Amino acid sequence: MAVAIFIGVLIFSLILAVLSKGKSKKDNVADYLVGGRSFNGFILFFLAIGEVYSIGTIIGFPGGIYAKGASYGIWFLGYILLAYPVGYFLSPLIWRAGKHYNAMTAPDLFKSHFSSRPLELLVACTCLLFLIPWGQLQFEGLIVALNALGFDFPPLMAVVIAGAIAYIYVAISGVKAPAVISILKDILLFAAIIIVGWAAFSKLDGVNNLFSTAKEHGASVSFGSTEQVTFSITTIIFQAVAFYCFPFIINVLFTSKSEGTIKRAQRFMPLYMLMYPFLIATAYFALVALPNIDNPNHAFIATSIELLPSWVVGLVAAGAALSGLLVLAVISLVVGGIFTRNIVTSIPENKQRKWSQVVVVIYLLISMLLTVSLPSLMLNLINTAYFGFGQILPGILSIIFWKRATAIGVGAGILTGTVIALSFQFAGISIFSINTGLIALCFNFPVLIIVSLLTSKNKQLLTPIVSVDIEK
Amino acid sequence: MSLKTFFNVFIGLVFPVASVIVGLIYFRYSEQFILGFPILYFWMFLWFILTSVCISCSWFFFDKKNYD
Repeated sequence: MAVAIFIGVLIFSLILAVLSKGKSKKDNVADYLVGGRSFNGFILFFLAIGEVYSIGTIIGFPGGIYAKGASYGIWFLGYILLAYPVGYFLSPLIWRAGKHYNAMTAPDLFKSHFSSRPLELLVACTCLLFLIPWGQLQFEGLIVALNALGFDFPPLMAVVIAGAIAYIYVAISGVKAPAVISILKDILLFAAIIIVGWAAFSKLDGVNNLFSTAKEHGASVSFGSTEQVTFSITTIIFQAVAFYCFPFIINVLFTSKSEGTIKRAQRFMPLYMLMYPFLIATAYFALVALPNIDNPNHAFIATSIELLPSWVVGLVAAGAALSGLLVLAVISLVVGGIFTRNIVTSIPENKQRKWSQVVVVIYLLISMLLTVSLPSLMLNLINTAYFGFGQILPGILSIIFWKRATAIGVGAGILTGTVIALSFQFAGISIFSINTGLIALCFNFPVLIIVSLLTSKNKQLLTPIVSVDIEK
Repeated sequence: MSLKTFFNVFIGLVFPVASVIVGLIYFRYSEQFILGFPILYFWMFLWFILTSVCISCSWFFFDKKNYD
């Protein structure tokens, strides 16, 4: 029964993908990558939310609390929430830059503003590299969702099917398919979370009881140590801003009709977080009732199986799966776009789409292989991706605010930051538990500033985007 | 930076960010419960709503006329 519902939802989503193509005969790149910059507030809201409330939310977040306690729950909630006020001011400026340079991808911005091919290449490669853990994240969540349905596929097979579906969405109509399917997915996700959370609250006799019981069982309800506090707070600050450096977030921003549209949509996004209490309930329920889950990523689905009839589990798994698929679809678009526009630029326009698709398949395969051979706690994959993307932040802020920045400065900063972040991560180094990405930024910014000042002597000063007029 | 921009950024960005972080640090080891929820979580939920209010203030009092 669960399986039937699951498959039904997926088929419906494919139909939506076809319908989303609409009467548009346009087959141009602008339409494919940024929806022709025509999305209104309603669609933008769901698409943007869709990228955030993805599989990391429904599977990763409860899993993180289950494995590591309240501090993980807090940083996750904190960075998403604080990204909204940051975004309210920052994203319209990023959009303005995109419009000004007619950019379709994040590296496009760097190419046009700094007129630098090497920098464009550097940013493009950084983006592609760190999109890999993000892809892994989706695949891990998808495997969890499929396992929940009792599909005991070998992970490799589950992952191949998922990759194929994601690919189909965008092959049909570019970014418009995810935009429309996002609405379906958000409705399902919202319903799934509330239903499972409500069941958890009821089973343990109400909110009060749930948490006190959990506390008695040894679950953590506050920070446990200074290290945890430091890690959480620094992670919140870092990720709230680094959020806007994600290539697909930038792509989503570019789809907006105007700056005002973005600002208007951002006002209400924090309210959408009001479904998180229900997710927290499931995590703590699992800590009480299901203390022996071997893979913490399974906490949410295991709770729903424990508490709910089979058909609801089907809906839940479908919502989770759609989330993963959608993000994979948008990532694939972005990967293809970056490859053909920013890495191998000499491909003629009519061949671009085909090459794009080849690169997408390769990217998906790499992520799948890593997922299967190196499974991780999902929230740790999130941290890793952020370390990398966050290093682009000084560059983006320079484009917007600093006329004296130079391509060499930005490039040097990115290299410095990325090298530091990756070395710390692989060597397991931690400085007072401060978020590694933030530490890397502390080197990135000064390098950017110093090198820029040294190399800007004879160069013409650039126009920072903040002094370009508001586009209505 | 004009005074208007300062107030705009203050109410829409500085105030919510500072409040959330200061609250998290202040309540960091607290095991108090409010409405059944551990206080740290409750603080976050409260600020889901208040942040939306703050951003809306920025929009309404400062930005609406420039962007519509």
